[in-house]
Amino acid sequence: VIPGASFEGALADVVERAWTSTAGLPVKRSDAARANEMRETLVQARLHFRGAWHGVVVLEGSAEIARHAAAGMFGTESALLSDEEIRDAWGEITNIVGGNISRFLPGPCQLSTPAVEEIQWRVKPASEGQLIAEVMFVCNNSPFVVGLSGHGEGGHDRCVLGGYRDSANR
Amino acid sequence: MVRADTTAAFLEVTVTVLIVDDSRVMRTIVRRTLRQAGFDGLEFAEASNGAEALQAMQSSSPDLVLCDWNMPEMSGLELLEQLRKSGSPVKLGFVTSESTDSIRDKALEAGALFLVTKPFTAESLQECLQPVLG
Repeated sequence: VIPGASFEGALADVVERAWTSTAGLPVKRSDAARANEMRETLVQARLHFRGAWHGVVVLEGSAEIARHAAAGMFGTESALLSDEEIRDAWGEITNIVGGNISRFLPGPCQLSTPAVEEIQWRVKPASEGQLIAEVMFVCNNSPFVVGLSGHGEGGHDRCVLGGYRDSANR
Repeated sequence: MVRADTTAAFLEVTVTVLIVDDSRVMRTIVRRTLRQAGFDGLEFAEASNGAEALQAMQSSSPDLVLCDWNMPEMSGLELLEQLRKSGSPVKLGFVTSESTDSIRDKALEAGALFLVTKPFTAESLQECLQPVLG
């Protein structure tokens, strides 16, 4: 728990570290990259939490940025990557983000393995329970978004994540 | 088990590291980062879950197992428990994104030597592995 910090800040820090250290790419938090402008087909990875807290962390970005990230992670040319390798890389970034978020959760939680698929934005909402935080980034001029939503045991919405009451109640 | 590349022919003793992770890209990153950390001349083997790792270790004995925590079929902790139950003294460390105190305690109690948190750097990997690989 980081006293006084917003959960968006903690989430952004985790994403930036995961992205730069595994893909070796510069990434920038950007409020200008609005999630509702991402209307193309997206690659979406979802990782679920079950236990004292139920929720999901979701990573969404264009096929182009997913391929770009995978190339950095595999250390190869993006044109050489298979769809399976791109899904693997996108899921692993999500796995790292989810695992690092788990330390902020109010009790022990079991993490799923990441599920990755292509979606049409707005057709399938990325939330499960209450939206806790959503942070947008830009890498290589392409936006991507990371969101966390969920609820406490029993489904009550007012779950507070490790003291991030302001974020949880937004 | 997938036998991976490597090793410098001049080494007198080859050190084999078994990397267990359900993500192929993470197995690639671990290998790459080990090289960046200065651990040259290692021989690598790979497995995508605990069950596959156990099977691989029936035919060859790695000097070190680097293992993810959360994997399908058999988790890293289950793998370690199976190994110790069967009397295997193989050195094992976890490389995982889940680094709560609870998980760290479970890992060390089960006999793990260390736990490296993803995302890791060459420096953090070297710090954990130097005492083990020398």
